[in-house]
Amino acid sequence: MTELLIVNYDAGNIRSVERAVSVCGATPVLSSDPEAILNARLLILPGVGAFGKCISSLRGKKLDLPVLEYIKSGKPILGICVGMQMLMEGSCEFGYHKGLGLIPGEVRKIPDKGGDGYPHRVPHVTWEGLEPKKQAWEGTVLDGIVPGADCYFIHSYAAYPEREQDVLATCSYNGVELCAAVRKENLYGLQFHPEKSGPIGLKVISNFISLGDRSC
Amino acid sequence: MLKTRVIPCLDVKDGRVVKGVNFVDLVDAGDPVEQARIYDAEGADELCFLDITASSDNRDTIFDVVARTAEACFMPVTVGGGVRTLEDIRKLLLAGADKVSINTAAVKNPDFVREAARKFGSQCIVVSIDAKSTGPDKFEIFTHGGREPTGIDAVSFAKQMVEYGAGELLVTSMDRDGTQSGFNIPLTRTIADAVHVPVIASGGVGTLDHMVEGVRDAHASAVLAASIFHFGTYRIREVKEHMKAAGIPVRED
Repeated sequence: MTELLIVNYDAGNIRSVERAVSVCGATPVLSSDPEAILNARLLILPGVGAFGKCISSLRGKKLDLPVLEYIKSGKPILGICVGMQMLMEGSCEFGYHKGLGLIPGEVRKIPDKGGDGYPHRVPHVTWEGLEPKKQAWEGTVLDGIVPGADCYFIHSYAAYPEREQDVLATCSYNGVELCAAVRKENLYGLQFHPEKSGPIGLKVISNFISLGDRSC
Repeated sequence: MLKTRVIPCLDVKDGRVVKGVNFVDLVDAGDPVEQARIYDAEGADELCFLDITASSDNRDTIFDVVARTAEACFMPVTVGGGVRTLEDIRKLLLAGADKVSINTAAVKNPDFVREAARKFGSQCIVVSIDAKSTGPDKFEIFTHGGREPTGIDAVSFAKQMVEYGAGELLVTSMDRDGTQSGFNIPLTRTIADAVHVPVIASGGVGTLDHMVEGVRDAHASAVLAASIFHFGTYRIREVKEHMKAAGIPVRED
């Protein structure tokens, strides 16, 4: 069975990610060993909580460089929630924090007004439909997902990629377009939680696992 | 308009669901894991666990139950009941909870909410507010299952909790809970209109129309119910179909 490495850097609840991966037919391996990260075939970078805390924990455990090395090799990586946000250049959550800088753009607070100009609720906690942007979903982690399919979002900050071509999917929160997924070559990031998004989320994870077969 | 979440709530005591269940396809009616699995398959948007374990000796059973439930379903799980320390929260999150709901500890020591939000992030801190109408436009917080008045105004408390970092409020109308006569609309609406975080309406659901009222009239972002689901009066799907027919967007499979 394909092994999938989940980067373990004390980023909160990763048990459900582990469980979802095994249901999707891969063997999840939790690891904070730089060597294991470099040698992995598939990598998930999870993240729950505040950006600054996550990135400093990743750096504190000296796992940022192995992750960057892994990405350079062209093998697939999937960032989830703050794990996705960390792929960006930086975040404004509780002061400015530098990210891994792999996708141009920053992480900023979700606008506190909807498209109609009226205040709306933040955190953005709900199931929201995914919509395509410039990139086709075929052959990506969203292969076979029907536009409008609902996934579970829970976040106060969102990624704002500079280049539209890096955006794989968006969702509309009260008329405000938010980045739901990014993709740049072997690099994938999801703002929603696939491990909490029912059968659709599991399909996304299965798609990611099958990318591992292709990259070898 | 945002999709409204439909949230079944399990009342768990010493690791077992305490209210009766009439689901025909359950292997073990008292096992919360079995019920969670069914709710998950039926399209529930989140699951809420309320640990009402009377004795603190049995507290640890909840961690095991949460772990087994989180493994059985692929939707977010909120756990409440007896959350008093940062260590409680840490253990629940590690067991697989996505959010924790803080009730008595928030009333006794509001700073606890601030510390919890700072440590774990606002997105996983839900403050549970049990309140009653005590006069026209007057809502007071009660503790100990609605028996003890605190003298605290529910609306000011709600605002304070959001300021301290609560990412969501679970508002339970103690005067309606268990009556099946519908949510306390003025209470829920006053709080929902006073804060900018999502509000979950709870307490009093008896009919499908009550669910609609919770959103349309009380301005809640999510509706929670226990009995109507436990006793099989309504299935999750029926609630969603009814809400959709009333013009309220819901997640569909």
